[in-house]
Amino acid sequence: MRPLHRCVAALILFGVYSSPQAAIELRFESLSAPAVELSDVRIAAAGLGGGRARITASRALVAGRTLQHVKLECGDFAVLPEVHCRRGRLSAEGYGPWPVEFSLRGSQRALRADVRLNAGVTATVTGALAGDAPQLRLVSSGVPLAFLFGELPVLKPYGPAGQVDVDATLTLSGVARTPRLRATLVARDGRFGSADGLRAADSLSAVIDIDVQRDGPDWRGTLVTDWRGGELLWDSIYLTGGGSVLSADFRLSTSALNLTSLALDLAGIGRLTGDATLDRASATLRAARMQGAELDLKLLNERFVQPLFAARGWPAFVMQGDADVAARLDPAGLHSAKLIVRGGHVSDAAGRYSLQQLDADLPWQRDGATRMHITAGEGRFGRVPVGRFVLDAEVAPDHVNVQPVRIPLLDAGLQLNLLRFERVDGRWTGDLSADLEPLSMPELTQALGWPRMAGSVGASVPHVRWRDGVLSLDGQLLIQVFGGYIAASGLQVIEPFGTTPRVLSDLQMRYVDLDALTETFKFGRITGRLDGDVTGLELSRWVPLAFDARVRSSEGDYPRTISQRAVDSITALGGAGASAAIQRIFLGVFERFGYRRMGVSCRLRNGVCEMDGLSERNGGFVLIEGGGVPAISVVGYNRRVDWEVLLERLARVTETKPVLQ
Amino acid sequence: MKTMHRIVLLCLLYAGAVWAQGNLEINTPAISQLRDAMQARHAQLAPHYASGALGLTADGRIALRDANAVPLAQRQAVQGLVAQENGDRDALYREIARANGHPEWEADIRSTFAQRWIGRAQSGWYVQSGGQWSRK
Repeated sequence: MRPLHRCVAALILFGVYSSPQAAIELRFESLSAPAVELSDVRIAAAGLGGGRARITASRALVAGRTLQHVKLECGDFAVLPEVHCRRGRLSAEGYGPWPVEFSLRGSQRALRADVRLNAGVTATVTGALAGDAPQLRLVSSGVPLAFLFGELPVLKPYGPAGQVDVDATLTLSGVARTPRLRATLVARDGRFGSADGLRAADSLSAVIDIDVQRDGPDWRGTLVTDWRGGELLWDSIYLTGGGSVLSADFRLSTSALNLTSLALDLAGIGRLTGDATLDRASATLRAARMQGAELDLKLLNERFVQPLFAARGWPAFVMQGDADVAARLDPAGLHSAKLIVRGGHVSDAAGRYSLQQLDADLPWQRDGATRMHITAGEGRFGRVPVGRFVLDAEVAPDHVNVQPVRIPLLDAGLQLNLLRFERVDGRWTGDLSADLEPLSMPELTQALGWPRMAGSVGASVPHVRWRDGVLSLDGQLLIQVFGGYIAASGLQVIEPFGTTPRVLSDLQMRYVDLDALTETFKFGRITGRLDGDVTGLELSRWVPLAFDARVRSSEGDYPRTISQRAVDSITALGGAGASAAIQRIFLGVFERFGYRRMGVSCRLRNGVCEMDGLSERNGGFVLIEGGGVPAISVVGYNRRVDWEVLLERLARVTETKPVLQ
Repeated sequence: MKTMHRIVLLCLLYAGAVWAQGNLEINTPAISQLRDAMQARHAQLAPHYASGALGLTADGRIALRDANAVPLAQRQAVQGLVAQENGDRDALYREIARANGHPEWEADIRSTFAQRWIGRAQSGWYVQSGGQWSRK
């Protein structure tokens, strides 16, 4: 207990205080030594040269930590010729009792103390308490983590457990005898867990180097934590293996912990730097800044972004490239952030889209709007290639407003006139308006891997709304194709990103050039024009579940011929029951036949297509009504056809995969 | 709404469910697909109901009530399963309401399902009532 400063003592010798066995009783209001302060200290000893002794302190402040009711009982305690305590027991409220022995020898007051913390763990303290350079060294193996950190307010709820090997040296330097502690802690089999189990660790191993010294009323120093291995779960983030190093300079005052030159080296990802201030009393964050440059997006995404998405049931995506990040936090959480992506590549895990050569500047603020800027070099939606485009958007907590942009698609472009998302009453809504410039069908069909089609396709999307998981089209979506058009109305896409995306729509097809259509699908040649109406179309997972469809030759004056192969195709579609019933004799003689009308309907329910034609004939239904010379009629008899079977037949006769599949 | 209350509905079992017989339309393809997805997932969820890690909430969803009952390395995956299951359950209630032409019934359908899920929970599973968890 030397040097003892501020020893304001009420010294009462020789049994003034009543204690039957004590020959000596001392009382000190306070005693202090480097990093140790004791209050209300009482010493009761049998004598100066040996015998039993009891030393108590109502309160002890050891390296900033408060212990209550500290008690040391020695079986043999002496002050002369050396200070020693043998067969001692040390305890404090919540700690011990631990067997302890110590001795102080010579003018340097050389100390050796052994404290047995439990059956297998002994802490040995050696050093010199006096002289020019007083110092103490504590060495111990297998100290329970709970003993060291279990009572820290920030860690207590997590119930830390495991063992630590400690090698710590306390020195006093300079005239002011400024204390400095250097310690290496090697943690083994570290574990902790929050009550709900969502923040937990197991088998953690880490090496912590700490160098701290007194600076006026504060402590300042450096801390390096090298995570070597084990498992760590923090909400949705799960990390294994270690390889990450956290280092910081810090200053601990009575009110706050300031971390400066904070650096976190994330294995394989890169380095984050920053600073932070934490409130000591509440163990909460006051402020923090963090930034990182040239981080590996691939690993950053796999370890930190994908888990957050997966935990919310959102679809996963793949990222590559470099990223710079910066963020500011305050007591309310994330205040602002910025993500800069260079040479990025993003694609969804299901391969539905990809964007390459992505450069992005994505700032975000909690309390205001920011402008985001994205340049995409190339990419694809499905199989359709997308050219370079530049996207500018205003982003705020309650809205995202994308500036009008033209996205090149093949030889044309998709003009986004309006793309806006708003949060209303906690729910996000969206609005879109777009025009598809006329797109070359040969190029499009080639890109999609479909049979080559002639002409071009264009579309106008006046207004699409996104409300409560449903995409709805206001008005009509008009697609120009095969010289005619297809108009979709009442179009809704329900839960497009859910388990069962569904599409509801009515379709109207007018004046489609059969020559181009049949040539495209190698169906056999038919000249003429076709109208069609599909009502109550319902697709689930993009497969038709129900519709009422009726297709027929358009009204008007135009050439109407059908090739023998097309007749074969149509009869094959109708199955065994179908036949080219009239003028069969001409089949095999003529290449082409005339017709007056053609038409077919299909009512799809429960996987079965109920078919009908233009009119009834001999118990069947007329699909093609002959006209001209030579004329031909085709009659179907099988009214109920399995939809899958129909698709298979269509695939056979067109030598291609049906588009609807 | 009275119409809905008159309907005899929603006899749900877990895996291998026998679904409703009654006037409420629950046999649409979308509902079947949701049911299939939920049944396929149930095999993965069942051990976690039994261990007490997962519980059935009063709003017709499921919740990770005690992740400590799941090995550390699996907790992330179980969180994902819970999110997917809840996504499907929410979609199911919406789909049934839509399929019957009454989107406004969703809350009542959810509430009815919640009671049935809890009523049919196996012994030992945790269920939520009044914000409190209890073991059946």
